[in-house]
Amino acid sequence: VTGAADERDDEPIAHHYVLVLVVEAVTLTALYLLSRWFR
Amino acid sequence: MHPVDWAIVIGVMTWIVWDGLRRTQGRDKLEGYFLANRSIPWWAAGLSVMATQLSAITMIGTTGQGYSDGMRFIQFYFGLPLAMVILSMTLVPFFYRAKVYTAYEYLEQRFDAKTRSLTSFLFLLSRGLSCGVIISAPAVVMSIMLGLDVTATAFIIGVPAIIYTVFGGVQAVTWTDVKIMVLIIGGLLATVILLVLGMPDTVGFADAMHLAGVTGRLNAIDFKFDVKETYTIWSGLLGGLFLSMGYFGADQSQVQRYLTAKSLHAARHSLLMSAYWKIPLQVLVLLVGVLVYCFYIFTPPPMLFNRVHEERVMQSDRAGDYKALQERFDSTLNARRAAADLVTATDTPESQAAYLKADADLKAVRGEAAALVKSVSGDSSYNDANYVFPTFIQTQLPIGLIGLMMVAIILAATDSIAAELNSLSTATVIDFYKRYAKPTASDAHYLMVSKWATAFWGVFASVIAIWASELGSLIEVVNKFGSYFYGSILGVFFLAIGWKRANGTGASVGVIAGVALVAIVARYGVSYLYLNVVGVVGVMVTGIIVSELTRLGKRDSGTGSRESGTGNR
Repeated sequence: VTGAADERDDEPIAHHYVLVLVVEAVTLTALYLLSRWFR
Repeated sequence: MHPVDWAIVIGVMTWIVWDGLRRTQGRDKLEGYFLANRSIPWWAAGLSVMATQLSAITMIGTTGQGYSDGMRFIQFYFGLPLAMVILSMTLVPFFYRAKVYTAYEYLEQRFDAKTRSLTSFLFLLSRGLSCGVIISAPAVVMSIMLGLDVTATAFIIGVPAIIYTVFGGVQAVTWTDVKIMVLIIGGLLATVILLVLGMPDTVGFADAMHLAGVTGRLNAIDFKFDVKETYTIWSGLLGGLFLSMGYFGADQSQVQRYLTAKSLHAARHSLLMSAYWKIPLQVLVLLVGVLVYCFYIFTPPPMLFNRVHEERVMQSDRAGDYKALQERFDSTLNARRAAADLVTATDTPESQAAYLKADADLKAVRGEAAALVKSVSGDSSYNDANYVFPTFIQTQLPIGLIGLMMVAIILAATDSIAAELNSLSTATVIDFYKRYAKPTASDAHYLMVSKWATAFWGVFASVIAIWASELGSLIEVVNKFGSYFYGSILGVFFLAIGWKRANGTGASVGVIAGVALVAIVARYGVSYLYLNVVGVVGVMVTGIIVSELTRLGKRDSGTGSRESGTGNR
């Protein structure tokens, strides 16, 4: 079954995109705080 | 290495090849061989994407970078999550719904055959040559660690990849990637735990990290804006964004990983796995390097981590110079240890300054020793940092874990090379052989040609790898040359989906103009991370102008016909 369309293909995925950006912002902040904490 | 460690290395390598060969079952059709019949679950495709990017150079070079330079390299990856989001929204649906084998095949659907062939050729040229480096760079380091010559080590890395990729196709590549990623992450976590437990009783983890922080090794974010500086938050976010989009969106070695996913939904999720986990994984790799630095504050390190080079210098007429350096190194090491104890006991600006001076003195002595090695061995590209982590593994980890980490490094190279061979073979057969030489042959014929193409690229990469150390700076030139193409190829894809009236002539001229523009800008010392932005902009601007001009020309000549490539497909 070549590349069968998945019923979930059109499922909203935007929440993942937002979550990726939130996770990155948190990671960058954590890295910044890490360098400040152990200075 | 201890026989137990050798047994682990041989046993795991044999299991990986055997399991890859097992996956030959059912691979009698081209779509099965190259795309696993689009049946791979999202998490396996996602781990394969991550494994392809994480090569042995990451395990050796990045830990070495963490040891000598700290966490700042992490900024290189800051644009990656954003790139994954953009690709999931833009290129991935186009590739997946177009039912293509290669990313470049889509360009023929959208533009014309010459655009497809040009971009695929650029991919083959740059990837084909870089394959050799993926083998040779770790082979040089691992040959010292394993006590073998470079050629034998290159074969240990390359031959298993060739065998399971030729016979198992993309199924073998993907499922091998999954196993290797588990091995690598498990090994790194075990190393971190042992490093933390290995600190002296009088020194806590926080004290050790504080010493690393005093030297600036924990400074992960640099807010300075300088286009000639490679590792800043801005180069990472902007340059890293375009580099990642180029790598994951226009490089067949990555595109093929997520084209094997069982649905568009799964393909998107496989990319988002990297979006979530790539930065934490790289933090882990760099943290290992930083912790190794902390470990060697309290446990005397060798002056040089490459013992073979050290022995060579000791047998040369510069042995006296080396001994004098060793004495300076020992006394400076003691001074740094005393300064470290002082910082741990009384954390004052004075004690920190004393520690920084002692650390800088030690670095200077090591620099002189490395220069001596370069002069005696003639190896001008020698970088002692690459030997730090492998030497730590061999001298400080317990028996068993040594074998596990050694095989993890070897397999990190093996799985990257396997993905490259698989994609090179796909582009060769689909974009050239099937397109031009034999368009209507049977699947069995294409499958046979694909296996031969994989074997050819494997042999080609091995030959380049063996000669790479002799080629020296030529390889660097080739790699640099390859980096000129990334942004330009990505620019064509953005032109395809972003400008409805773009045509094949505009796209082809755009690629050539983009590559030329990147080559010119690179001459002014601009960091390579920004070159991808230049490439994308160069292709899009030129592509749009040429497309519009050719449309006007046709309209003026009275044909009144629409460009064949217009319209968003």
